Amino acid sequence: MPIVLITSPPHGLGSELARNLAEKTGWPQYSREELVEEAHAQGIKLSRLETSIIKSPVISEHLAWEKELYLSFVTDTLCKKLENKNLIYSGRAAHLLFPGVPHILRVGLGVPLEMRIENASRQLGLSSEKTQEYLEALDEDVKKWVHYVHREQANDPSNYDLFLNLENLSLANASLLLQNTAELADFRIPEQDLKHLEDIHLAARARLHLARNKETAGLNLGIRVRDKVVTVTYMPRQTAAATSISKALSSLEGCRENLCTMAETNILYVQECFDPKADDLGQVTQLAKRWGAAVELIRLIPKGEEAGICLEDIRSKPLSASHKDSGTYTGGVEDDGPDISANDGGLSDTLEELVAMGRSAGGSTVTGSGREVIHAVKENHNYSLVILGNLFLAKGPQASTRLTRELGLTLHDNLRTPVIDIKELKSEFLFGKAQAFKLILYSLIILCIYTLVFSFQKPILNFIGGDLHEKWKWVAAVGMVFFVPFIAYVYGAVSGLLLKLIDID
Amino acid sequence: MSLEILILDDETIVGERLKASLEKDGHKLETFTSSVEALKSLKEKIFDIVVTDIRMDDVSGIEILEHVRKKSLRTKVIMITGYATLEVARESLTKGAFDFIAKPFKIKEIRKAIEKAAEALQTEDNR
Repeated sequence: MPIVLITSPPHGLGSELARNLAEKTGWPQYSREELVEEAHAQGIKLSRLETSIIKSPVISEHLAWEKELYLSFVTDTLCKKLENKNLIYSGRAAHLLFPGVPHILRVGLGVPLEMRIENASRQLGLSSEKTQEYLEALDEDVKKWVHYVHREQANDPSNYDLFLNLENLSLANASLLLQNTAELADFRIPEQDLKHLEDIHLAARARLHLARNKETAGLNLGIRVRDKVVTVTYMPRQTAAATSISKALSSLEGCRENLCTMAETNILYVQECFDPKADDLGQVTQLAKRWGAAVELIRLIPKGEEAGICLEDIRSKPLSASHKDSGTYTGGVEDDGPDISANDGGLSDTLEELVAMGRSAGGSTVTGSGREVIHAVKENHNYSLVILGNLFLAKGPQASTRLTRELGLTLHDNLRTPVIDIKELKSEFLFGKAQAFKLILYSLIILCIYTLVFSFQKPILNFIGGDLHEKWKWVAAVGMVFFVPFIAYVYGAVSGLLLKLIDID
Repeated sequence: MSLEILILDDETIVGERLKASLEKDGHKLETFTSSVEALKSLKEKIFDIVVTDIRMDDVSGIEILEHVRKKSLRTKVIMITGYATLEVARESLTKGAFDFIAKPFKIKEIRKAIEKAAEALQTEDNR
């Protein structure tokens, strides 16, 4: 009962090989072309996701939602196509489907460019030169697709079980090779992995189910399934939808229980201007990954500095699954929404980066001071940490530090959350070169002290409570007053750094 | 710059909505829901811009594109579709489409594409 996933380059004989294998084995066969048709038939729009790769638009939360929906649709459709747990699927990045499920035969095809040119040229009616140009551009597009949709490198050999080069190997022999490999015991999915596959399928069905429900469509949700228990995690800004999620999932077939939880940790990052490539953001996302947290951005513009810029909330709003749902049918031609300010201090770009990492909790621009920030975040009171970045840039360094400190106090008092300066983030929460140096240095100090203490126990005991103590009573007492806190500090620092190193803090 | 634009989409609403918006910008629009009728018009007249759906019953948008490119290299063709894949989009661009817009789209997206096409036409005409 094998599942064979064949990835071939565009116009690279993947479907032909899959068909050949299906004829030999009688296993059901399905191709990406059929899958795309099925998606359209079910009203799942792929156009924007597909063309986003060529047109490189803003990677919005909506696009990320479309991506999740697409992957869920693929998982659901392929699981339904399984007959006696057999399936042959060929398509773009097929080998990356069902991530984490072992014993699935993941196959890659290498096809000489000349062969692909001949194939594509015949199908598209293009000259050889134009076809080559088309295929080279398409190969690049596919690489970008794999990176965006699957967060993997297209040609990473570790993702394949078998890679066949069709330069010398005939299609018939390639499929024979595949058949023999697929029939090996290594590619029979054991019972516990089948349960895992069923859970993955249920998670995909849950996402599709929620996307088709009017009240929950468009919500960016985290969905996990274990032993048929569906856990949905939503962002704090989506609190109102929690009841709808539970209600919608109650009618999901095969779902034993559903749990609806709000994302427990959120990091609020307040700064005047953002840069997606800045080290500071890297540190924030590093911490978010460790905590499993989402990062909410607030761009704070001090009052009077940029007149005309008002509260510009670009958090994703619940989006309808189809434009047909919004009331009148528009044929796909939608009215223009409000324009987003061209200069938003890097907020959109940074949000894009966070969305791509799956760490975005939205973002907004606030004009004013601490009170306006509190007003903007009043609905989301579950921050684990507030990070203050570079703020009040137009003021002098001293005024900037003072105003940042005041803002920190206001936020701390109102949100009851630890507030930290971005400059302290690394030393407080992350483990870098400086921390490694400190760990080594302090460990050496402790080692020296312990070596000395255990090598000279007699004189030390004598100094603390023996003849020497009688002679130098006050010196011993004063010595202990300084020595004990020092050793406690060094020991504490080493323990803290070690825990930070192994991500327990 | 007033442009002569042909809009072809088998859904009437698409032509209607685009016509209403783009005529406000001073362009002259002809809308078609039948690709055969559009082809007839394209044989008789050279448009500045052709906006065409890809997936249609009689003649596909790709065939319309090929026809337009054979007749006039000056005409800019903008493809619109709700059934796009990477392969189709790349095929259109390789065959000479000026731009490619996936449905659903905002009117400002098509307006932007038309502005870009107008700039390209102006540059070509000034040479």
